[in-house]
Amino acid sequence: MIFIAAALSCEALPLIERFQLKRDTGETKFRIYRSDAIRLIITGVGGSAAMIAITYLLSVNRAQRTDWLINAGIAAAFEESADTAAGGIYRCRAIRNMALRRSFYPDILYSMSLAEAEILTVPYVYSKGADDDMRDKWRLPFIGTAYRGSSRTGVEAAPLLIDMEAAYVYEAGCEFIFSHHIFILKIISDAGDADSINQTIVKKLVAGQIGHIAELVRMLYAEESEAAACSLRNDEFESLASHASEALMLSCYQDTELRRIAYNYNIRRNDLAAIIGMDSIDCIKDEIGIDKISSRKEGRSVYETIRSRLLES
Amino acid sequence: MKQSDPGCLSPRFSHVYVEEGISEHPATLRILSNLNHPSVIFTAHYKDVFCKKGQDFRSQKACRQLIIAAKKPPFLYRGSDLCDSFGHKHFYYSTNAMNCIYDCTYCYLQGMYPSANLVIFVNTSDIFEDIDKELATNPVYLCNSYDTDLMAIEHLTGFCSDWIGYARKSPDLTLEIRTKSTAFNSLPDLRAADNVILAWSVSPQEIASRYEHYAPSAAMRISAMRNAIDAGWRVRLCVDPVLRTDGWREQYASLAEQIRSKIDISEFCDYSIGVFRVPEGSLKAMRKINPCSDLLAFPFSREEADAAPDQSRAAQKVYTYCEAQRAEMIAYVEGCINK
Repeated sequence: MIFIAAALSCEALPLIERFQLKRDTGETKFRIYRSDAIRLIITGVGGSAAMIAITYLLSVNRAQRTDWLINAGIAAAFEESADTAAGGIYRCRAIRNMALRRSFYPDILYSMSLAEAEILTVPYVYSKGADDDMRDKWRLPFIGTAYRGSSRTGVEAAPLLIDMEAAYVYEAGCEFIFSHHIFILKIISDAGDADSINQTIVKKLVAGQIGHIAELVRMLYAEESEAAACSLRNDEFESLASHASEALMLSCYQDTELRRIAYNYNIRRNDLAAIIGMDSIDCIKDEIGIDKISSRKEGRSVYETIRSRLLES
Repeated sequence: MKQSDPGCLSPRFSHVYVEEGISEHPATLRILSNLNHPSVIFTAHYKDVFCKKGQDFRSQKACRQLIIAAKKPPFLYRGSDLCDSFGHKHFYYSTNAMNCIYDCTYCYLQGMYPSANLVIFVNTSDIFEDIDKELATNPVYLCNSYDTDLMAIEHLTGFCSDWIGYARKSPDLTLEIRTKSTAFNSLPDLRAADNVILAWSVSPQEIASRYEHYAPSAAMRISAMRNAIDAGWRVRLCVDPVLRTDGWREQYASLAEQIRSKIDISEFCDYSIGVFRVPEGSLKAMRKINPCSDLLAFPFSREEADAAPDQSRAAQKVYTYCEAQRAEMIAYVEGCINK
């Protein structure tokens, strides 16, 4: 499943249109839009709203570690430069929470054709003029060399973006989903001049970069299909183990043990059905003279034979 | 700003995380200059990256990133009971890096740390200071490549040269640098030191291909050993771990023949043979990380490791082959080597 989080409706609208998502009318707490493989939530503005919304979305949808989470939306550039013109889209490689003085580093395991930035999540709308006294405090030591770059290492400083949700989306997301499956994508809306933007501009900015987000979603779809193939193989194992466990009337302990040793046997020999398939169980019953398993005691005698065969090296 | 193709894994070390405190350390600058313009991200403490939530070891192993940090004390650790001390009483190991650029299925490093990313500690001089203190009271036998393969990252760090230089000035130190790499070939100018043992782990090619991902072939390792011996180094042969795979007898006989065709056994300063063994807690973690490994799916026996000679520590529980299999495997491989 691909989960998408946007703080504002105007950020979400281009995504809803592009991916043809339908409003989930059963949801009353949050505005959630869905398709077969996508769930999009409008979180509301700010860290608490984002954290609550993400936790809700991932909990009710029983998110797996291997699912995906994209936070798409706008952010301000900390300083104006050629790299940080409005409309540019960035993938965030370091996410810093100003209020909690904590930094998060999503694993950048998948390449994307996007420039990278660092993002600082603050508890209020960033306004360049009003926050002049904060700027130096933010830089050092919290941002430190990361923002200045380093003359001796020749390291190029990544642009610094400011928003109000990213750190909270990431932190909540990490409780459910692998770090490298979380993508924080931000489109620059302004450079600390929030009054200059409105809903129409935001919608236009997101729509202008929708191609990059769609490209990512396409890549994630491909990865999802591969995971589904693996899950089919697991279903086969599960079916064999369950039938054997039921037929042998195994206790909870024996059932756990059977699954563990059967799993390892199957990896080594890849013919689990020959040991715990129903035909094999019938043969073992004949060998030890049991007509029908009608008690745990009879089941255990068959299980002991199966167990020793599974543990043969 | 760096950009790369979409839809594929990031290249190895495309991102380097550097602790702020050592951002201008000479070794940091050396490592960064040896990389191909990575994205550098500064962090307050390496554990913010290395121990973060939501990591997937297997995915990280496919495109490892690098963390450069400063090691905090302790700098020296007592050698494990599972490792051969070769008769040395004061047996220690040190950690100049955590994790390895190779990906050997049987290695206890699989799952030992929460992350597969490579951490390099740049403050080697602090380790040397601690060794100096220990050397003031007794001779020291030290292995510096247990939690990594230091020689394999020599092209980045130059640490092996630093260690060898230090050992040359410390005659009471016996240093073992264990490796699977062929990086020795890139150190031809380094003159041999009597108290440094270069130890190569070798496995039959079938096993190397199947279970030692990214590591050089058996032939290349044997060739590196030959070069080291020719350059006057003390070289240790480590056939460790011996694995009971299908056809293991033929595989190890063939390996022994391959070694003997290039190197006379008497040319090694010594050799060690050991079967697969891991602390009991490690096997579960290794299986979790490699759920489809036939090697780790073997029905291992839970045994008691040999206790420390001085009885200072309780014996450890390990998963290994059963006693009869162990004896058979060691006797067979030793017989092949000494043929």
